Amino acid sequence: MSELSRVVQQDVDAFTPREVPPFGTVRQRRARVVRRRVAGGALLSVAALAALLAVPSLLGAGQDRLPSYAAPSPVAEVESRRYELRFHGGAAYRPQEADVQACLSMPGASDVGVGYSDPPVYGATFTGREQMRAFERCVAELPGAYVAQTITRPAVDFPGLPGHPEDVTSVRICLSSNGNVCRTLSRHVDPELDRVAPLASAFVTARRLAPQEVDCRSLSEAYTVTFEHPSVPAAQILLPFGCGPVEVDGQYYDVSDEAAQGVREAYATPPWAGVTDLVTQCVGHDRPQPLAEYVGRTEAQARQTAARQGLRVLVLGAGSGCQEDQSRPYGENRVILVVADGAVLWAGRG
Amino acid sequence: VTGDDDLALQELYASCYARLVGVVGAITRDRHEAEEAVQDAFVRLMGQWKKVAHYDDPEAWLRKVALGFVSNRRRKALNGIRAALRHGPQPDAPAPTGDEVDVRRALAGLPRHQREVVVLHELGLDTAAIAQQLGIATGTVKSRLARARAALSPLLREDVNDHV
Repeated sequence: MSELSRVVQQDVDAFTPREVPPFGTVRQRRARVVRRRVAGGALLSVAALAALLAVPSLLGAGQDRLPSYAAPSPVAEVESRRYELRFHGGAAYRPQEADVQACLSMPGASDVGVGYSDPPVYGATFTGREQMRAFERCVAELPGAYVAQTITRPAVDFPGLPGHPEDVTSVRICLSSNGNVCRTLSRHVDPELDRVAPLASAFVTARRLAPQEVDCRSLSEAYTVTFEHPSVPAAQILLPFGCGPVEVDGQYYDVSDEAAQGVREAYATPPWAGVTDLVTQCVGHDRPQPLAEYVGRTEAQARQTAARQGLRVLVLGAGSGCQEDQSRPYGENRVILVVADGAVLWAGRG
Repeated sequence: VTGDDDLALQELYASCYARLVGVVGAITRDRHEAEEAVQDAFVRLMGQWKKVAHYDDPEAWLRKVALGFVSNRRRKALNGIRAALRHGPQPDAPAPTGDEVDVRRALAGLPRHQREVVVLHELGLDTAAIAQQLGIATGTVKSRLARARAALSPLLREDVNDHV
């Protein structure tokens, strides 16, 4: 094998994820794509939509007035939302009626109706954010292709949080006092799937502070939080390591304890927990996470990788400390692994 | 998508998702972008499965679509520049080690259109297959390979002419 082939193969290996997200991730992604297409189509079909809304029998027995399709309001103010379920494709794609009704009859539902078209169109209003999320989770589980269109899906007026929290694809958190080493929670990674949106949601209640309310502006040690959105540029949120207001684009905000704690916990989640400070002391020149991913998630994988590259391996227990290594010169041809129960918590070179 | 189709899709997904992300990631140097592109490719596949299922190599179709998504995204240069300004250097890039440092750096420094032909070529695709994969002429593949190898040649030990 040529040197170039070896490098390319190692690159491919390095970028190959060890965990494959569940196929449901792709299904949900497709549902979102279809939803957006339908939403775009709906904008172009205002007249058709208005006609739909004008016929009470289509959406709810006895309803004489339907919720407004007015301009979106900040999600912090949205306590109820009108949903429309559309089905596309042939009959084979449709979920069972009982499953649809199970979602439509969940707590918080009101104004439930059906449009007698083929395929049918359902409408429902859900009140309460938890209830809205529960409904969205319910329809996401319905088998086959379908569209769960949120008629009102507002952007958030907090400048550091683009779009809607449920649409945020990942959150990236860096800590200045840790060499600006970053950690990313991604919706594409299964264990992190359910953590991104709640963390983003925790920021929507942020309150902008008047200048006289800002008594501390020290951000010398801070987390930089960036919520990524597929189509909306994200602003950086500077969250002090200790207490104090967050800063976004030169403006100061008071965020909830839930938001601040969420960021700290996300940053401290394994493979970082308990070893970040330790290894930073030992080999602070390195970037722990990428190398840990590179060498392998288990001690056996890491040893194989090291052997392929002619590196020696030094294994430390997670709680062992590494004082003996602080005195050694950097740059030795060695990979250091911090291992617990066979899993690589951290890897560094030294 | 029928039950059988759904099962086949899931099997294909389980068998080649990670490999596709690895290849696309090696080209883009960004795993997040690679995962986005590959997942988008599977989303498109779900809509075209009845056709693609009969292809000899659905994985090649997925790779082509994923690389197409990457190209489309790259065209939105402004967004990319914004992202780069926001994030600085990509931390997901694997740490280079030992003798491969220079080769890897040089490979990463190639223009993406050259890097993608090198990666695909080193993964075993011939120039015709690469051309078909990327939707470009065979001659273009050869010229890009030649230019890439010329850039890399001072760092490579073997006779690079053996490969083109």
